[in-house]
Amino acid sequence: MGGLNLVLTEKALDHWLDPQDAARTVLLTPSSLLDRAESKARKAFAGWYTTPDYYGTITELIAAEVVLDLSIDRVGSLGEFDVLRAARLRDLTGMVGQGFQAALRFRDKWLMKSIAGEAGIAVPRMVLVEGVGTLPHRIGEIGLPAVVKPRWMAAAGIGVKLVRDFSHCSEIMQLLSGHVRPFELMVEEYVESPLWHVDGLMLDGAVTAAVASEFTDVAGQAAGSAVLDEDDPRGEVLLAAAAKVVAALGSPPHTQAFHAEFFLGAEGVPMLCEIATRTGGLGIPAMVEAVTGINLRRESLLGQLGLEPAPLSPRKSISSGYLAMPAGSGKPAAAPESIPFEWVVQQAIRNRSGSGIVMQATVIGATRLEVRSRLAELASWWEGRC
Amino acid sequence: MLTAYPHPCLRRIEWVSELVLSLRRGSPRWVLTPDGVALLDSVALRWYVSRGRWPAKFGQPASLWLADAGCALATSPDGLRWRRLWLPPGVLDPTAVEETGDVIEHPAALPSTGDTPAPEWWLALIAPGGSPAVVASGSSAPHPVDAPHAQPASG
Repeated sequence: MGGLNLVLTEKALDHWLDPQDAARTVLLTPSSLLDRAESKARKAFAGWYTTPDYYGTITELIAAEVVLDLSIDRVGSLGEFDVLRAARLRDLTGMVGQGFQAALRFRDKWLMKSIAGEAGIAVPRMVLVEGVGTLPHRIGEIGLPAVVKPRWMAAAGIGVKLVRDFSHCSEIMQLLSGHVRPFELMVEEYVESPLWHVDGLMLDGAVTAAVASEFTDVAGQAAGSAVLDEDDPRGEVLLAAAAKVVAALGSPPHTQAFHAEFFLGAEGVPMLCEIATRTGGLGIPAMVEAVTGINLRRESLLGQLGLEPAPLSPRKSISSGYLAMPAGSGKPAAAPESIPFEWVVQQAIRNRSGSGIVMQATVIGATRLEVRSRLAELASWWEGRC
Repeated sequence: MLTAYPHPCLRRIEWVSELVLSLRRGSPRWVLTPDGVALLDSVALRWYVSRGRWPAKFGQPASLWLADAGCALATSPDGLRWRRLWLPPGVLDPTAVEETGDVIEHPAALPSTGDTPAPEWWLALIAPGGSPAVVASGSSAPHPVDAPHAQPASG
């Protein structure tokens, strides 16, 4: 029996921890999560700390105090924005797990792709930007169109920007001026090839379970993915590329989730877009669980806390996919309460106050093509009602 | 705006967790911030952060400088002579402090500030048993901070 765990999470943990493990786990969550928690859930954990601003610096301050006051042995996190925060907390007292420098390899895109490139993985041509004033020169080095992106965190609310001409570059420079530190931005070549993703678990620099999928997003209308069939040769290529990236970047000596994105065109050579030490967003975890039986979020958390992961079982010979319709696409009065298709294995319809209805569903099918057809049918059904 | 200069008794702090740990190892400690200087302990740090004063956006490293424990700071609002100041935790306003009357010679050589505006005030660090050295300058008056202990952060 070890000491206490600290888990940073903005979402409920469901029933992932058995009572003994929950009883030695302290949570740090937004105040609203504790307000909504049932009495049983509140009592299940050793303690429950809240923060008034989950994305604020105050959360790291409170977490650091908890780590030092309670002699925390392990820190676990689930969300993208907690990866570096949790890593810094581990470094404070030399805890087991992913430290800051190791986590940075998965967060700093320049560092990530430099290491991957040295390991023989294809990466886009890229250049660092000394400051906003030199952005046009750096874009000129790469050539138009080019992608401007922050190395590790959105700068001035600017995420990834595709620059097609230099007038657009001037707009971006105006937005970023005064908000960007030296060498905080990078410019990459624009890659035309489709984007794919690999989601799974890693342990000590090796991938222990993973599936490859294609993005099926419709820009501005819906987000989605579909898992590649087992015999799809692109899947094999993508899984091998993910394994190579994980080996190059390294991973902690416990199970942890990853989400990798690659460009892959007709030439068949995957090019790393990026990789993160967390699960994919939106419906990706549920989609992966539908074909593997693995709850990536749960396994990643158990791994970080040094707990035994569930045994891995062979992938099912089916495909799955997910569809997420954004807020604003539905009218609350007309929204259906549930989705009637039997091939929808998980669904959530929520009325998000002020912005409209959001819908997310997981779909299964015998093959990827059948899943894609069902995703299209589901989107059409939803749009006809909302 | 404060410009800090390297000094063996100053350590750069980028993340609040580092500062929490450092203050556990000895506080109050002087912290040079973009706004000026603050004498922080754990309570004052919570107040400082919960008021949104942490000088970096979420996820971005900040640029603060932490003085070794036992260091004193002296400031020269008039740019001519140095008066040792003893400030309560969190107080940044040099006009609201008690002067001990110690006078320190003005350093002859000051670091170049390049294109930045001419400094209006200077800050010297006095290490225990050491001589004062200029560690920062500012082009505008440090911001005052009132009642740092009045509003404990929630959590």
